[in-house]
Amino acid sequence: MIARSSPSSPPSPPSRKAISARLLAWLGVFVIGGSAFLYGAIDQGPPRTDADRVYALAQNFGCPVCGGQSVAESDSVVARNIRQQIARRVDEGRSDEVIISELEAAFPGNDYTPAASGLSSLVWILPVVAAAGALSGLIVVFRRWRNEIAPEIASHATTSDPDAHAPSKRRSLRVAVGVIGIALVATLAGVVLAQFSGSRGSSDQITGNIRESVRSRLFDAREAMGNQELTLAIEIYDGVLVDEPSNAEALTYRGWLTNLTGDPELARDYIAEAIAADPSFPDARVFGASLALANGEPLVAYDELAVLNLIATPLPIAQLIEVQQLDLRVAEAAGAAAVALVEPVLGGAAHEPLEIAVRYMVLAAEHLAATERLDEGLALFEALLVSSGDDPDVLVALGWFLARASVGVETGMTTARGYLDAVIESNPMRADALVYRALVHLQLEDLESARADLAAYDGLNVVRNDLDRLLTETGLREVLA
Amino acid sequence: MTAQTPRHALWVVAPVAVVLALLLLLLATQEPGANNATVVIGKGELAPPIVATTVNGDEFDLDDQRGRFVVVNFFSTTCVPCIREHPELVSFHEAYAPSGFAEVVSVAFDDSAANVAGFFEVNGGDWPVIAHDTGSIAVAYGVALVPESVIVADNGELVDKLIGGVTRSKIESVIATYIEESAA
Repeated sequence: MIARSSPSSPPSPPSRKAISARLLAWLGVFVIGGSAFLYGAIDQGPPRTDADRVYALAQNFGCPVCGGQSVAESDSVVARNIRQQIARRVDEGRSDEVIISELEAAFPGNDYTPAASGLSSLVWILPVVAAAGALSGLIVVFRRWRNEIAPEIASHATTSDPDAHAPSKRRSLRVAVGVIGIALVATLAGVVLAQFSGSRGSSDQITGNIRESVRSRLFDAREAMGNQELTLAIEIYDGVLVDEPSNAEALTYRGWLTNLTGDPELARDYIAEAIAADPSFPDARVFGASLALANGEPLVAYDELAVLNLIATPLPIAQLIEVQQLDLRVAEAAGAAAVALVEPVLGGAAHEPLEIAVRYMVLAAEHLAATERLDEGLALFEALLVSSGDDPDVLVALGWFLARASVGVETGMTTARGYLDAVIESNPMRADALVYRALVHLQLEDLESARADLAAYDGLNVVRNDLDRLLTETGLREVLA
Repeated sequence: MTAQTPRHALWVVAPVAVVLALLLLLLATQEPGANNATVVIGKGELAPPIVATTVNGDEFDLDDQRGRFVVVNFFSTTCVPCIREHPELVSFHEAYAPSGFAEVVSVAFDDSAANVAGFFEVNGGDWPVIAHDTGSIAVAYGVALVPESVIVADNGELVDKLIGGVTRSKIESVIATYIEESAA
């Protein structure tokens, strides 16, 4: 028969053996937990592939121009270059430390490798220690509650016992051992966290923050602009620029919104930053041209649009230019400004290339010809031949100028072709000369030569939007097909 | 039981305080992390090597330029500041290259050889131009955006890195300062 203790009888105090077993169990937990952390800290894991190493290194190095993105995440030119460099160094058998050290030397301050030493590691260790302290406090409180709820075993059963305070001492010892163990494990956990979780920037949240991707925020901003929610769009772009100060799209459209809200000077600063961040971002060029034109600087606008001829321009931007007739307005204003600039040359002064750029002389000549002042345009080219007769830019422009002025006049066409021949002879890859000469050949009814020039141009595989437009407008491809 | 609370609190606070104190002592007395112990590219260091084929098909080796100052110009044909600084480089080159005092080498940044060749045809400049596989050179010189120019001394040391467009007078000034400081 199994004896059952009376419900009214007080529970007997835990024996010394039971206490030792519990203590050993706790110690076991700490030892196992600590060993696991230590193993995690020391173990390098399974052998990584080169691709893994490249990716891991790229993740731990910040893109120098993207402010917040790692080299692994960014699509900027410098990030691509760094990724390729990392891959090369990995192929060469360099260690991770050497690779990162080399990159840090070239781009200081972008090493995201966790700072496991020095004061910066405190930001990782202290939260863990604080959490451990709180946990220790909870344990103490729970133990106290348990002791208070339990019948006062000691007072009833052992008041006459001379070792009445022994259990209390043992409890204190257990608490002390537990707290020290937790503190040690917590410290170790903090170190491991610092080793593996990456350094924390001054603006990061203590719990880490889940950021919405820049791409999705830019999409939201575009949508807000489409809905005429300009304030919301500004807020989104500002947020993007906090994370990526050199994001060309955010800078460009933040600039444009700034202009819309009445601060063109600041808008131009934004656009200038966008162009510096990504010279090939066409939107920035278009807005830059528009702002420069509005600011009475048509020649600056002309230069911005000229760059667009060398950039693959997305259809919406091309349509924007067309709808706003920006190119026509810029050409008209810049032409007039160029004519004003070359007035001294028209008056007989010699052309000084360092004072008046060749391209502005050509622009002025084109404008004069378009406004029925062909002779003055030719006079400018004569001045250019004197000052810069060896400049292929001058020869190409003159050849094309003469070709358009000599439609139906064989001698004029032949002269034009001579200038273009000279340029192509020295540089067979001169795209504009090839296209212009193809058109001249067509006028001279030399279709084979025209086809050859067109094929040579196509073989260059270069972006020349102005020449492609010219080919479309003249229908040269269809004629030669 | 309540009489034991202060002792319990002491047992809790004391070990944590000791651990934290030891931690702070350790961190405060430790050397800065190894991650910061890198040498930043700067004055006095040997310039990273540049061995490449130019757009003209010639071989270029920066080491072969010892004995003259070299302006390593990183540029792009679609970058307006690069276009604007180019006449200054031409002027500098025309003034100092013939005597062998200085040379210019251009390194294209994310640009095609055809565009680069066209750019030099249009804007002038008769010096070595590198357009193929320039990414590693740009990384070695820490170039993130263009234009940037690095001036290399006649002994191969880095003199200075100029971020943004340069002028002939700026380059002259940097070289003159370097020569004065070297002589001192």
